[in-house]
Amino acid sequence: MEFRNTRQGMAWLHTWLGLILGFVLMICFFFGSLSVFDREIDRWAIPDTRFEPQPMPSFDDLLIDVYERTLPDQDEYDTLMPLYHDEAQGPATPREQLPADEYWAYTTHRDPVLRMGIGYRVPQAKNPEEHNHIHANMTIDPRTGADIPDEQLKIGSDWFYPLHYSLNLQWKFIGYYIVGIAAFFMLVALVSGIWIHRKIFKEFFTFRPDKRPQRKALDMHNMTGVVALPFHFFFALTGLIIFASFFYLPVTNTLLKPLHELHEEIEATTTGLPHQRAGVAAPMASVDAMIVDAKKRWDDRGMAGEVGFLMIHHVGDANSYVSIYRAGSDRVALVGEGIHYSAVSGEMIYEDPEKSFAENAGEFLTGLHLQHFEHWFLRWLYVAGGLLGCVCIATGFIFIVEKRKQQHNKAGSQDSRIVDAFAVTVITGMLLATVSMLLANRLLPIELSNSELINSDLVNKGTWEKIIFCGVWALSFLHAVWRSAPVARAQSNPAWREQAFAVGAVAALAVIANWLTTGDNLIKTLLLDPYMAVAGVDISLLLLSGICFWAAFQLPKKHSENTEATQCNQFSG
Amino acid sequence: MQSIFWLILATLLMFLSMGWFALSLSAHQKQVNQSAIGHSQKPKPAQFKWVGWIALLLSGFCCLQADHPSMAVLVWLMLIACSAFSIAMILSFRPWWLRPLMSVLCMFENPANSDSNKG
Amino acid sequence: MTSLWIGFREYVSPVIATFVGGYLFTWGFTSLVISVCVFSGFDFHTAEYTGFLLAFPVFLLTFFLIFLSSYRPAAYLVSYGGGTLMTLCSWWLQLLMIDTGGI
Repeated sequence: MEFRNTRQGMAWLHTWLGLILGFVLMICFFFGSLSVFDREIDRWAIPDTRFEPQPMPSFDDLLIDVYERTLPDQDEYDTLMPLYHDEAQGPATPREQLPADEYWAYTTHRDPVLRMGIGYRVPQAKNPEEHNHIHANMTIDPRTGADIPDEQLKIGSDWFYPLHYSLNLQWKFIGYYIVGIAAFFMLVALVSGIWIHRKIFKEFFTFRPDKRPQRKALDMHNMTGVVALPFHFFFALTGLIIFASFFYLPVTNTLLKPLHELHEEIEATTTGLPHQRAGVAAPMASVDAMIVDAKKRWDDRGMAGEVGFLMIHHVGDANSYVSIYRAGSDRVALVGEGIHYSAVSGEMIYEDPEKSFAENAGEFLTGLHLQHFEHWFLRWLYVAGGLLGCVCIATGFIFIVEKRKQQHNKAGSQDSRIVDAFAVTVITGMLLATVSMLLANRLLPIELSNSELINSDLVNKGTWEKIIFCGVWALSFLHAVWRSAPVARAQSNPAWREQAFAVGAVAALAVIANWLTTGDNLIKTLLLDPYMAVAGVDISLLLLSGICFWAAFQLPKKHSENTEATQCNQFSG
Repeated sequence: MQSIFWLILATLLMFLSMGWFALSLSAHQKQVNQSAIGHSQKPKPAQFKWVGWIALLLSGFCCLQADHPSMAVLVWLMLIACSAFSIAMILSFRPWWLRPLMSVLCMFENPANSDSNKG
Repeated sequence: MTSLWIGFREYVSPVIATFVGGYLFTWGFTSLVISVCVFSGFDFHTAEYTGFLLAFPVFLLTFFLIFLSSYRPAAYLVSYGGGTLMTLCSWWLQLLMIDTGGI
């Protein structure tokens, strides 16, 4: 592979890597944009949780009861217990008797519900030095302590959000790696794109709607790529940094693991936070009193705030300690300013020191991606940025298809059909899958898991929603392939138009279904009894519906490149 | 409440800034002028750029008034992206909406010149 | 089949080789930055953040330098060899620190 000059090499990289990994990037950008409002989508999808966000509830009066009544997850117990437990030391500890080793609870300024978790230790472990934890994760109503059952899928935070960084492909974490490679090539595509186009400032405002589709697509591709360049670059980069130590560059967990462990041991001695259990049982002091003290200390530092994250290490042991972290709703950086107390005496052991420049820079970069801050205007600007990214990638595909299909038409090739079908699938197909999932969420009964028809607890409502999401998406691909014959004749695929109509209709139906099944219509959620999380999702769906209907009417029923070119010439003449 | 005021002002200034930056390019100036009723007196591109930069920096100042600096810089960068896109769409579909931006600068031009041009 | 093979050899394999070379170089670079920082007395987490903040820009730069180099075998040699050498250096530094307990 030899290139005449650097620019040609850059163009080759930009085109081919964009074409191959653009499909993944489209998913990352679109579902990343939705993730900005993942909690709000959760409220829409689980009507029982449509109440105001709550602060961290009392640990002593409420949370401790929830922790004590919860049992380890059955599936995780069945999978991990045989791996962790040492048979030579005796029979495995029954699930109900596994001792808890750590408790955590996490909330944000947008959460009415509280997420909690327990890590249980395995008493007779094969490798006692390792972190042999079996978990239980739960969500509760913090006002009463009642469980929010898991059959009701949190569509925003447990489906759309992980989709944008893991594609929800959990096998060997393959989804994370695919997204990581795509994110890296996004950076490559941005650098090579700038190199190719050069006239950045001129393309800042250039879109010529009266030109041919190919030119229009290129204008839009350049413009959306350039105006939101810092957004595109920093989101791809920070996405890589967030997962660097776990997946993409696990240097400190592999090559430098001995150094990492040595550091942890030394840190435990300097901070006074025990690294291991003492093996002596001890009761727990009032955690609420520690929280009052932590809030006072934050206030003294001029950063008054609520508790965002609470963690109790080595539960029930003399070495147990409580870590209390401040919710970072007024800062870009993540939750922080941790204060640690002895769980037995209730005395403060250690206060996190001021961070170094590198740590502050790293937390700022990861924080700007993870958005724990309370700033609704910036959230909407992020959504706009993400959607500009989607438009940029989508118009890149359209440009490639438009450019090739003329050549392929002359050569009698069918290759552009498949690219066009993929483009339809990741643009209108992805929208259709999303809105279909939301509509299904409002139509499927909550008692689905108990239905005699299904007769399996595994197939609950949430699972059906996932099946519908994936099924509709797969069908949209088949539809796009089936209708793609005109592309080989340099014409437009009618699937674009048909799927746009379908998205418009299903999105509007989802809003109506929400009204009929919960009584929450826009008049109520905007005016009579304002609840912006649901109103926001409804308005966005209606907006999407309108845009899709408009686009469907704009797209020609039968599109011929030649006729359009003639029309354009007539206009310009 | 005060921060909302500063954010609205920041958005407005950023929008104006991007509009003036667009008008500093001759192609876009032509788009706007085609729909104008004889603006023969045109400010120079450099003048558009100057006011564009001033509005851009003032918008940044407003962002800093509204939020913590770490947050303000993000709002400012995202405002650039969204305002530039909006201006591009206006230039494509409703270019005459940007005529007031040109007129504002014309007002600061030498009135004698404007009169002689009219004559 | 032959055209597929030619396509792979001509286009796909150089991109993969460049990517792997860039990754290996970045891996070595990051581990060396972290171990040198810790060796110089910086806190471990500061060193870790410094390494990760520098890693991806370095990866990007290395990727382009290899891909656009006029004589690619030399670029492969530098990236693969350099990456391995830096990894070995950081490993050696780590052993030194653990032996002396000096972090």
